[in-house]
Amino acid sequence: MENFFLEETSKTPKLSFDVSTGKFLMSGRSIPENSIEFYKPLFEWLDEYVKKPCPKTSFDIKLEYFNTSSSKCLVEIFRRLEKVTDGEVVINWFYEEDDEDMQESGEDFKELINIPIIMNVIEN
Amino acid sequence: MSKQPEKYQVFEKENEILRSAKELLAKPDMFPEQSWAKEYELLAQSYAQLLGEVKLLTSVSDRLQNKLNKANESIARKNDELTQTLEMLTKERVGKRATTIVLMLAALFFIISELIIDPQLQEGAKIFGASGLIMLKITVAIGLKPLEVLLENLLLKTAARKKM
Repeated sequence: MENFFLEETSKTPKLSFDVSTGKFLMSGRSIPENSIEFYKPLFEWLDEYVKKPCPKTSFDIKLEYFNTSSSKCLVEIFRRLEKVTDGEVVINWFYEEDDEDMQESGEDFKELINIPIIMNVIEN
Repeated sequence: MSKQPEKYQVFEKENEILRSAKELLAKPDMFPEQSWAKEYELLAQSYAQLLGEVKLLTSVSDRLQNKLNKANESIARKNDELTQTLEMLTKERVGKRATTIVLMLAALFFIISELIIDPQLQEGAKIFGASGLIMLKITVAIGLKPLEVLLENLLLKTAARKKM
């Protein structure tokens, strides 16, 4: 299984999913024209990953903005990671210290998803 | 079932749950009595999950809209500041140009006055007196300021027309 990597654009985030270390990163903006088309390859990659995950999976999310359909895709990503039974999964939700909206969005995901979500402040 | 538009494919899983529930209702005889409770439980679980996600999406969406509004307000504010600065800059530039023109006119008046008008007025001074000559010069000098204001307004109007 190969790593999953996509460079950041003005409308899509950077996606870096390293299968050997279990270090995942999503950063930037997520406002694609068609969110499902953009995230579907990642869903498929994750479906494979959860079959044989790393002992520890650490997923860093550093999003500055995402649209509604992207938030649904985020839920889908988290739902897939919830399926990891033989390994630890941690989500690190990063937000800028003056960005209350992104902080509260992280809190909302925390309530819904059955994976520990750690809130991290990025100081300006 | 008709093909879902691309953007709704994000609800593929939910569509699948709905499709199988409808299938079950359409052919109740095909399922044994005991499987109904299990199917109902699965449907309730899916509904609870969907409700949780809808709550999250609504709240996240409202918050993101709020973030967008804040960004729009900030852009509008910055745009106003930029317009004001540009107006001030134009006014300053036009003012400088008007002053330069008036200064050049004053210099021109001075030369004309010294070379052409003065010798003739010297003759007139014999009639009106020296104070009459000084009064005339003061009138010309005082008239320069309104001329500058007039010129400035004219140039500002021209600049505004050009902008349109």
